[in-house]
Amino acid sequence: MEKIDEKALDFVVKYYQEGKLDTLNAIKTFRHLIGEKAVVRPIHRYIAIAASLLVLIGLAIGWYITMNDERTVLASANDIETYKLPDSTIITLAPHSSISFSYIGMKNGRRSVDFKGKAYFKVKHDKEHPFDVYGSISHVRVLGTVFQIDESAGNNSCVTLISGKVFFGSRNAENGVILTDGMTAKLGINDSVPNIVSSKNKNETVWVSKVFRFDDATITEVLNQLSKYYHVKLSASDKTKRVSGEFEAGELSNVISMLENMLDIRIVVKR
Amino acid sequence: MQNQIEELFHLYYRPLCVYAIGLLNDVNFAEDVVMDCFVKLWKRQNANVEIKDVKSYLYLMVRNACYDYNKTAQIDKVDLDNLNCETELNENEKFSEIAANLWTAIDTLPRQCRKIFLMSRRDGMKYSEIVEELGISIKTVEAQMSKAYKVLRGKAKDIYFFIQSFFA
Repeated sequence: MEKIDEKALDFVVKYYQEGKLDTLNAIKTFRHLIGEKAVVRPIHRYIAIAASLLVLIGLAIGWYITMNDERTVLASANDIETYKLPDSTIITLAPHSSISFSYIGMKNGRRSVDFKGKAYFKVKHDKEHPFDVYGSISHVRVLGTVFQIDESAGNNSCVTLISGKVFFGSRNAENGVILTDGMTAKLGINDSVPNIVSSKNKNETVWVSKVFRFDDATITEVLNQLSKYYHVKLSASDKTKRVSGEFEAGELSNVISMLENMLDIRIVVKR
Repeated sequence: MQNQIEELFHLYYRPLCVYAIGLLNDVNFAEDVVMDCFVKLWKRQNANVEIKDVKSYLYLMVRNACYDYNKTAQIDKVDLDNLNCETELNENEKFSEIAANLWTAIDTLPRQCRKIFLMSRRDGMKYSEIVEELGISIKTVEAQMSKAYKVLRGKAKDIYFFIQSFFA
């Protein structure tokens, strides 16, 4: 009864590679792909305790705080941070970015945040209560969607929509544009209305998704993207090759050897 | 929802990869295709598409994706809404599960033991050649080989009981 299926064993040894078909790794990749890695930071626990205390202490103080509209600030220092807001919206902040909002307002359906830097939003769907994001110059209004807003350049605001529909306008004006899936628009500091940028770049949000996507891109294009992401200079021995597909933004050395093997080229790294 | 999917990973990821390897003859492509199918499944479940038999559904998704990948399309794609080709698929599922278990068994072998086993079984090297290559004694090679087969047989036994209980 304890016989080995020889056919199956022959098949397995033919293809066996150490470290391949790793289920845990696959789950990790999967989580990145679906963009779900919300972490509740200690600050939230603090808010939660504060909130439950408020209920105990009574309405009067709650009212007092509501009137004062204390702002909760979530910030990232040198790392990428992911937070879950009280309305279940998930935001990922790039390094040196922050958002602030009124916790009580948020709980009561006033979904509005101020933000600085660069952030990726996965807004909880709620038709009744639109979600407003105010940057230094921009205003984005959404009903429930995934998008990225980048003001890290300082003099412009760049919104990339992953899915759904958003309104993107200037902070102080009524006019704006509606963005749908995959569109990116840019608002300069002196513009009254954002300009839609036709962007072929599918990798604006790699820093969150950790996955590069290419569709028949030249190797030069691919290496430019990788150089930007890993802060290195890369060049290829053969520039005629093209790349389609997805791969995880893991260890640079792994990515390079994968590309080298796949395309049969040499890639040189200069730091 | 996400936890459910992660459970599916633990149950079917490896067997599905093995199944895809059989159709694509490549480990990396197979991994990509299977991942893609899991993501699609997740999206469908999120869109409230009702899926009765998730396991068969996954196997068919992988099968269709592999055919697309090969662009051979000699065989008609199976309509996912009309699952009724169980027999052929059952065979493949069983084989994939057995092979996946053997893969896991090889994974769990100590490094040296695995190396010797693969040299012998995969590369077809004689014991004497392995002795020369690794600079170890023939006794060690024999011991490691019998250890490897013992582990693999242990896994084969697991699978036997698994199938038993499955069809009980």
